[in-house]
Amino acid sequence: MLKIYYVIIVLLLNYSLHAQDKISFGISGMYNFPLETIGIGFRSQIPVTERLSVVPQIKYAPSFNTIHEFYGGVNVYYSLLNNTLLHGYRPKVHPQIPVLYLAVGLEYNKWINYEKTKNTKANPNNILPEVGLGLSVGGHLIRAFAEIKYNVVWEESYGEVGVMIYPFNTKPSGKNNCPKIY
Amino acid sequence: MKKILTSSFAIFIIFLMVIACSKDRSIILEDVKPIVDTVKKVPVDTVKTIKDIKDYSFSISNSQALFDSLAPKSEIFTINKASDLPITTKNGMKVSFSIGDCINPNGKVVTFPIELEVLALLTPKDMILHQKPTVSYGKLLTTGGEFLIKVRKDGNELNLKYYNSMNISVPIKGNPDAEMGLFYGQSTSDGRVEWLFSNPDSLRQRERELWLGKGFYEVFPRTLGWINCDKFYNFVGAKTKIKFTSAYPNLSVIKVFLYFPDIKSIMQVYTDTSGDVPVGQAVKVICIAPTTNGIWYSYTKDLTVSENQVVNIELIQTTEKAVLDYLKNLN
Repeated sequence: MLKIYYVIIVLLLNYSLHAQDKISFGISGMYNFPLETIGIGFRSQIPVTERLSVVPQIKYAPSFNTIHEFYGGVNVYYSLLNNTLLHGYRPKVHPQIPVLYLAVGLEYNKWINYEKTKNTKANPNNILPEVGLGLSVGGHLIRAFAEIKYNVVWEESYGEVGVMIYPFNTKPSGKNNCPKIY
Repeated sequence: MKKILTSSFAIFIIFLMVIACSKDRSIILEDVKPIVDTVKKVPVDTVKTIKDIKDYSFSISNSQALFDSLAPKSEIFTINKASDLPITTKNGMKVSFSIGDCINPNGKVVTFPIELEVLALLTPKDMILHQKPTVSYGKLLTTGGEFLIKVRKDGNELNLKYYNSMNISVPIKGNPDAEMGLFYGQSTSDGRVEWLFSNPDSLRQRERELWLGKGFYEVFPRTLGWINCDKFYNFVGAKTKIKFTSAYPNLSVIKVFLYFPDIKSIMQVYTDTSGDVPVGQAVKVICIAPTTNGIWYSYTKDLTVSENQVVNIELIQTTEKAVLDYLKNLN
């Protein structure tokens, strides 16, 4: 089983070499629309292909909310509108172009102050599939993002707004690497 | 054009997500079904005293067999797939877990089908008939409910992983008590069950074991077997032991229980002397002894515990129904 994880990690790292964006890390604020609760989230975005990313993430809605809970899971992001354009044969990221992406994921939920509610599908521990849409835009090293996701089991939606930091992205130099003409 | 269509689609989806929301998780259920049945008045049991029927014989095994026949029975559930869970028992207990929480004695996870056994003792009547008093190594406990939970695969009992997702919702009458904790049943050499406090390291640890709901306790056990939602009855006043005597039959064939209605606690008396009980506390003495030919005798008395108290048991003839009705009336 451990070997499979190694293979997946190696594959992800390998693919990320070909993608323009490198691995990034982010922080976000979360708002659950129907329950009116707020929380904080942390995530990492691992590019797999030019359009596809894997995003492990955790979220926490503190106890001052009516619902005190924790989420941890993985989403897969697929860019519907991409910011990578071809320059000749070379793809190049234009971070100032907004990226619209589709998110599909599975989250573990720990409802810490669980009480029996009208929602009979809710338990102290839950596994929740979710779908969503997001938008990101910014620079090579920092980008803002906004997302809305829908929990299909509980029929709840929540929004997230945050920033992603791309510490391993290289800033493009202004140099034009054209061959010299003598 | 593609960008316009995609953006329009996205806006439409976002609109749908925001409007198609459920607030159900914010609506707490208040009306949990009470578990105690409607109480019937107890018939007066004044037929014949034991002095008139000394020819009748009593035996320990006979008393035990009759108690066993009346005690609540386990419910057995066959779990064939994950969607068969959670299960709800007849008295409203809800058990939820994942197959991955269970391991066989070799420490390996198992596959479906598995068998789940649940026995809930949520009333004084059930606890007395099952002879599961609420005492932890001599100390009285205030009880919120006892239950047995076992999981089997091919007839072999499984264990629960220490870190697991099992949760058990135990219905209670009234509001939950924030001081309640978990006690695990320890089998003694003479076949009884002693309640051992789980002794969490911290309040946080206790919160991980037992949550309070409106009309129920949510239990997150670390092991399977007998589990009790209880708290120690902290009494700083004087304590004493009650002594029992019986002219006929011998005390060994009489099942003797003390029920403390104000603290919701049950003590069983195994010899001629009780354990430590608080002086000044109201207590119901309940003594039951069926004869070998199926005639029931009982002795009940409402007392206030006093120093060096002696109770002389004088059994009188009764019926099985009268005994059950009396026990049902305890609350």
